[in-house]
Amino acid sequence: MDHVHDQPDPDSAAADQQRIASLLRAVEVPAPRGLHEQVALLVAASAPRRRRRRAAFTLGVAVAAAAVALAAIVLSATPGAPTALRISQVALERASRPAPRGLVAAGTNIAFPPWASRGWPAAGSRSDHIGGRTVTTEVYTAYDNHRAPGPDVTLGYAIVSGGPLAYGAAGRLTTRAGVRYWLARASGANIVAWVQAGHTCVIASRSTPASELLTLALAEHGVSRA
Amino acid sequence: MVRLDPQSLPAHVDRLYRAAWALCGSPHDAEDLVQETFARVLSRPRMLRDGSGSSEAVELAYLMRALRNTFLNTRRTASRRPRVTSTLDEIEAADPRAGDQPERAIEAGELYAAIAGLPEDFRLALVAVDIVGLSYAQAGSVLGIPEATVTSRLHRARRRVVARIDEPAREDAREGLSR
Repeated sequence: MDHVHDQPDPDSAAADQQRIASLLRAVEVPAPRGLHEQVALLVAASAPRRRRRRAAFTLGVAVAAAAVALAAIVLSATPGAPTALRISQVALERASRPAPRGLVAAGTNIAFPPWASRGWPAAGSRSDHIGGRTVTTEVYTAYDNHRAPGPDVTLGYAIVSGGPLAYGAAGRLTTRAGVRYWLARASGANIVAWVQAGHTCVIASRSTPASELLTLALAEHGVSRA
Repeated sequence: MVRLDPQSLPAHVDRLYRAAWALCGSPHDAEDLVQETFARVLSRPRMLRDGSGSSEAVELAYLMRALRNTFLNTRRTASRRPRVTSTLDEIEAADPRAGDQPERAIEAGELYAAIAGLPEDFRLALVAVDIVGLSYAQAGSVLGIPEATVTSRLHRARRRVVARIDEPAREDAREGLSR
């Protein structure tokens, strides 16, 4: 309830106002650079056609920087190349062959990690060809005394040959240890994707929280905790 | 009426981001909220009511209104579907800027969390006036409440935030003295 007559004591009100102002000044953090770049792109895209050329010049460095930042993600998305979202669907497929220890993804030098000690022993693998890329997937099944193991408690880790892929959908981006992770949810599955050694890596699961998927992904870069 | 100049909007990103963080309580949600707000604002030409303030103040009032509407709409939508967001918030170990300025980043998280913990009406008043920098009259117009109500809500909001931030420090000081 707001009561107009409920006027505060002027002294304490002034003290609170000063304290809040002081606190806010102390934590005046800028927006992340990525957000500035996104807004610059939105502004550039909104300019009327007759102004776009001029806007491109006036935005100059900002847009160019944004374009460069996005290049690794967007420009590499050559026509016909799959997206990380599409790869996540492959990662959710059943294994079709065994998973030899230390399996290296085709077209890359990346070996699938042994996650048995993390409660995720390998259950199998599969290989697919999509849009000119080879997608190698290792399927892991949870082995955990705290929950009933079963065919539904699985995750797929797919590594794609060739350069980085476009994400293919809106998601959340978070940076850990200098690596940018894309997190999304689609078709009832949690998805984490990142670029490692120039290749797109995707972990997807319908039964595992995103936090756990991210923890596993971080382990690939020596980060022990999410 | 004046036309909103999209080229002027990037100048407000930092302030909107801080406002969004205080509304959401999460820097990641704040990024999404600001991006969504700008996407909506820029989706078509906008005309602004040429109020008594400067053009910057008029733009900020407009953006605050857009931010508030987007925040409320997003929250309503989010409540109807499962989201990754809450999970990610739980696993967010530290602000990404912590490497640059650890103390300030931690304090920012604490302060914005304290603001985000306020009842919505109080929070919006504090964000509109103390973070976005609107006048009480502008805030009242944006929030659809009388100016006197803005004053009342603002006072209560500030009181609660100051208490939440400062009380633990006083407790620590008292414990230190008693030892």
